[in-house]
Amino acid sequence: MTVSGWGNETVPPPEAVKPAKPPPLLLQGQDYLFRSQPKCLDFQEQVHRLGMVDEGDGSPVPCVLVLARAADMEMNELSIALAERGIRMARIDADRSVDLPLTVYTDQPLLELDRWLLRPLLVWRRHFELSALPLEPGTLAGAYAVDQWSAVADWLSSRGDWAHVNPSRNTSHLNRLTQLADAAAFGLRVPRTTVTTRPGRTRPGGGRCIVKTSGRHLLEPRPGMQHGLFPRPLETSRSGDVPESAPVIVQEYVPSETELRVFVVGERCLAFQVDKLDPAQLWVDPEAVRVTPVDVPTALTDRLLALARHWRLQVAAFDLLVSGGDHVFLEVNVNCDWRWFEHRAEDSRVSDAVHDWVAARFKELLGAGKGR
Amino acid sequence: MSLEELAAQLRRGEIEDRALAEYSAEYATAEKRFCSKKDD
Repeated sequence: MTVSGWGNETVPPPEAVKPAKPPPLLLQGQDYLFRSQPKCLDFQEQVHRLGMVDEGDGSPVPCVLVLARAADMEMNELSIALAERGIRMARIDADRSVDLPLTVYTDQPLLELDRWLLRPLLVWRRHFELSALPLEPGTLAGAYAVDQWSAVADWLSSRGDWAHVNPSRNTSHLNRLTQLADAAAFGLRVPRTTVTTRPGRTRPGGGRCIVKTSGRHLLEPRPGMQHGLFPRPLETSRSGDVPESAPVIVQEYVPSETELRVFVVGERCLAFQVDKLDPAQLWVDPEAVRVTPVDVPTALTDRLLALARHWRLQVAAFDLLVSGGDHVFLEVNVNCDWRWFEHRAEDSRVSDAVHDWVAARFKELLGAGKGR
Repeated sequence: MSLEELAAQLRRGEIEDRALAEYSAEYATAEKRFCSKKDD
């Protein structure tokens, strides 16, 4: 087709007749969808709202402050565990944050949350995703609230006069690619890896490959609607030479005997062996995954604890392959789940360790006079 | 009542307050629902 006056340049076809571009590789055939309700499940919030707890004399109450989302069951369980120890925990959930009565003082380390005056000693931000804010996407009012919460949540989770679990000042840059480089520098084997918008042209290692998200495993295009993005084998028949809309990770497939999930809690390592047929089974078919508590070899413990110290992580989960007796680092999860693994293995060691660690850290800070 | 006493009641399943009992039931349902959901 030509246009008069423009030589013989081809006129691109109108949008309507362009061949449809396939969806991004990681979205193809992906029907995992989880609906997460913004319903308060926090024990301490419930009993305080119901007026069932002795209120004290009005002085600021030292507390653990958690920024999360309502369905963060690890934090819901932490709330009960800390209550059992007489430690106040307060909560700001992203999906329940709109219209939250909150005043934070800048000249004193205090905040008023609803009708309670609190003195956070230890702050833990995890799963406080801005995409969970219950706002209408694409509106000015929605963009405004997201921007305000983004700035304030970043500040709350990095204030110098509060202590933090996995301080975001150190961990916010910790994407999968930085992790791989650091893990290799600490002597761990890592799979050969490329980041590309042309997965069909890229074969690190020259053989079979896995495609992974460079970002999160769950996307939330609308508040409460979480879509899965899980690792999958790279199939050239699907990827072809079509450019992806955004870069993905293409990683050498490393044959392995099994996989390990190692939780670092303070200075302890607690591990589970994870046996599955497919990387996505963890999310889409959990019943088919076998999870068994195992001990961690000393040499591996030393390396993982060194890496955790380097990254300033106090609670995190490492995913590793066991290949030919060697350990291959895949990733570390800062906002890690442990109850999923504990449920499958019928084992509560990680929960117990996390609860004890948080309580001990809180008491340490209180004893150091931070609660005054 | 203290936080410790209330948490102990919850653990023992001996809650008398109706509103808290409702919360406890909702929590148990959520635990079952979320135990198969992996977030990381």
